[in-house]
Amino acid sequence: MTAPILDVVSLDVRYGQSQALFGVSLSVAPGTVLAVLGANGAGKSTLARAVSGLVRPAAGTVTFDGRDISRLPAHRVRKLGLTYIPEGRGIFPGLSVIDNLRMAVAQERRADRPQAIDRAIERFPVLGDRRTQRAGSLSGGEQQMLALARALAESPKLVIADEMSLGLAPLVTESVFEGLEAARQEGITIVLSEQFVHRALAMADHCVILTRGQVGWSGPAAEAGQEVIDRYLGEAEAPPPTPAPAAVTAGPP
Amino acid sequence: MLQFVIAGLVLGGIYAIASAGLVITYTSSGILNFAFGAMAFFIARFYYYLHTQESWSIAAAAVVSIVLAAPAMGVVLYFLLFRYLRLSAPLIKVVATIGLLVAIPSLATLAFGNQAIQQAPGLAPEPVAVYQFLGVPVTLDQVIVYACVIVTVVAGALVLRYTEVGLKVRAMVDSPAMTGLSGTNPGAISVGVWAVSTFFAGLVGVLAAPIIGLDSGKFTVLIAASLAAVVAAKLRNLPVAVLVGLAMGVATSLFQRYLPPASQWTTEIIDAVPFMVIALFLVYSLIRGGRVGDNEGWGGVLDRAITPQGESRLAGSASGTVETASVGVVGKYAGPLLLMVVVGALPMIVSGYWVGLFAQAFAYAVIFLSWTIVTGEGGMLWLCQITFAGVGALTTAQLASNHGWPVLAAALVGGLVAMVMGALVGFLSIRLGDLYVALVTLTFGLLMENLVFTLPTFVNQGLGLSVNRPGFATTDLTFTYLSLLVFVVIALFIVNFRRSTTGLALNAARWSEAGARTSGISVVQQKVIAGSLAAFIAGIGGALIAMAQSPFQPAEFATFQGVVWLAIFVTIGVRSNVAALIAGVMFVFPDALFQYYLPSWTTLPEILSVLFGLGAISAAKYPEGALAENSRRLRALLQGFRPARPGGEPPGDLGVPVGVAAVSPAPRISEQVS
Repeated sequence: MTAPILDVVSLDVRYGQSQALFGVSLSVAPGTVLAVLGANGAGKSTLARAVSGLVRPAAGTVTFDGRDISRLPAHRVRKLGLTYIPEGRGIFPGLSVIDNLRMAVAQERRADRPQAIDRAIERFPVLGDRRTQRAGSLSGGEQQMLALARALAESPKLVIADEMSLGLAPLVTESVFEGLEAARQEGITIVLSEQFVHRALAMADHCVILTRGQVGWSGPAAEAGQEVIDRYLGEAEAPPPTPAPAAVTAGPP
Repeated sequence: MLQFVIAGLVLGGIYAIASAGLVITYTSSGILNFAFGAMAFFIARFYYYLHTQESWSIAAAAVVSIVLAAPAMGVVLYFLLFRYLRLSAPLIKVVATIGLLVAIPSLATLAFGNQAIQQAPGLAPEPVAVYQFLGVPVTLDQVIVYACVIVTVVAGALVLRYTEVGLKVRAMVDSPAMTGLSGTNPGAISVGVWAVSTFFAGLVGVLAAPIIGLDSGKFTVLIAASLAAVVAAKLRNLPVAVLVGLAMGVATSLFQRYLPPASQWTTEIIDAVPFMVIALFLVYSLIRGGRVGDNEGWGGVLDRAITPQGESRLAGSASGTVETASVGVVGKYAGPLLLMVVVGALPMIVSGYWVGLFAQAFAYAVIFLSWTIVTGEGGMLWLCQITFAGVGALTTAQLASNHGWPVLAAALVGGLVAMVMGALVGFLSIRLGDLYVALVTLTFGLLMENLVFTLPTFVNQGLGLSVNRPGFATTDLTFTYLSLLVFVVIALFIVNFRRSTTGLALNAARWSEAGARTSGISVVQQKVIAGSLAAFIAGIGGALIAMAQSPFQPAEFATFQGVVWLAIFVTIGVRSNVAALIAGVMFVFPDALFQYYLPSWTTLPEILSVLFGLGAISAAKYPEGALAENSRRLRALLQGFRPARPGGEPPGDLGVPVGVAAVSPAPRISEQVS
């Protein structure tokens, strides 16, 4: 097996006095897709924020592309090629579409920026018609297109996509997944946290399930079927020590 | 008329640059810089030092002071203070910048000497050239102001709109966290913005010095006026801020033209122009309905998500219930009681002069208690408690001395008059966000100070007003104990108030107004109650001060002096009754002690105000106040000797794992000193 591009070891994260992650470890091989699943509040977003440098971990290490990034601030992490699309919308709502893209490519050499913006618009043509519109006034789907376009504009090595389908219509969700699939074809490693469990598992190579801030299960995505029902869906309705049978019938609301 | 418009544009231009500086730091860092005027004064004083005292050329002095020293001051203050303030509660942000407001002018005096400066030159060579423009004489100083306004507005707009730096600043205004995720260092942008803002401050200082003189108090008032433009711009809209600033200047000038010059009201109306702007804004926002917030205006969803919410607010504690279990009733009340006994015994031990000081200290402590209710319990940032104290003092003096009322009855009525005003202020500001409340109460204070406290009947030809103490407490010692008694009664009332329905409702509303509303609590009603109670307490405190140091001048109740009081109080702990007592003692004694024992040390008042300022700045680090912080440390030390609890804590119990920090449980505020 090749060396992992992202390696997280025993990660603890706290917000003030409450601890959100407890000794989380995982690793991602280059060019693969990892699905991070878990109920609301399981720590998926926190994991992504800690890896991307927004939140400083209390303990543990994060290694990206052979470099320890656990203590780096977000802008340094981004420059190394790790891009995080946060939950909600990863855009600047107050800026125009084109300014959003200009911010995304601000790290490129000045001469390369116009082409990078053109490529991003080629990928998502709908953005081309909306260049001067305020990003906050785009539809939810368009905003996610813009977020994805921003993330991919600078040819990152790894993209963390956090709940990108949240609040989107199924058709729009599908086109977001198509965008991610295209990125994967280009060899970009993807870490995916998703509410549509089966859709995420269909795309992923590996899967990690977080429960209450800890890794509950991890393994190949193909083997995740029964585990997902037991842990992921069960957790949402009935926390332990409720026995499993009750949990099976109870789906998410 | 044209002449007056042109003249008005000078003051308006200075307002405009100042409000631009205030708006850019607010939008990019969430900090409204109350110290802007003090910074302007410092740079103006530095310019005067270089140009006039050291005989540098105008160009060299201007470059070194405005272009080099001013931005450098911004950078230094960013690294020392502002970067830690980004996520603090509004109260802490206000208090820390007020700390600077107190400390910086004193630093200027320490650095450049305390000589009184009658006339400060501007950027034009002396004698100042005068040109004719459309038949109106215009001085070169005025032309320079116009040029600076045009250059800053045009250059600012171009930079923000068309350059990459401008794009990054706009991005950071939208969301610092997203800016970081885009590969741009938000810290670097912040430093730059602060440097530009203090550059504006320096420019304002040097431009305004020939007009208003080199007096730090006048600079503070100038910036208080500019705040009106900032409020009208809803803290964020740069063009509106600039336009309103210019319009205020012109309005001031036109009033001068058309109002009868002999009337005393003319000067007062002119002084009140900025406050009329705020009043208009307030009335407009009341009519339009809805809430005028400030918190939601800063940063994005992601920024709020990665901020531990409870720590970023002047959040409530659970009013003593949290730690009581481990400390016990004795532990909870032993410290405060011991302190009360010690402080209460001191007036018996000391003699003469010092006893009278204790009377003053306890009277101040009563006023500080009003903040315990309105800010500590109600979570409202009121900057006009000194005005209520003034109202209490003046009413007491009028009724007791001129109408022959018994002085205690007069004091009670004084408190009631303040209470009515407090209810009014509370009602008017109820839908405003924290920062607007601070600005509106500040404005109310300045208005009262300028329009009411200056009335001839109060000023009394400069003699001030005297109030006789009640017949049974005419000596310093008896009056001191009367003051202490009033303090204790009110403090006990507050302890009970916290446990009352209103107290609990306020506590709930402080954590979550929406949550309190959906629980059926009328937040408006509770806040008005808290505001009027606080005003009543302040009024009573003011009456005590009037009795303690009679005769007194109405000018002693200057609004910014009250802001300094708040800074001292917050430094020690705004939620604690004991802190109010300590703050009262701290406010009176260091100054008196040094004046008594080291009368020859003339720079001492300056050093003391620098220390007071630094104390307020420390609130950035210990938002619950020095008292709470130290007693927490003491308890931690004592608990260190106890055996550890067996078994450790399983992850699930230690903290609820949360994916979204916005719902993270509030931090436990361990101290509630009763």
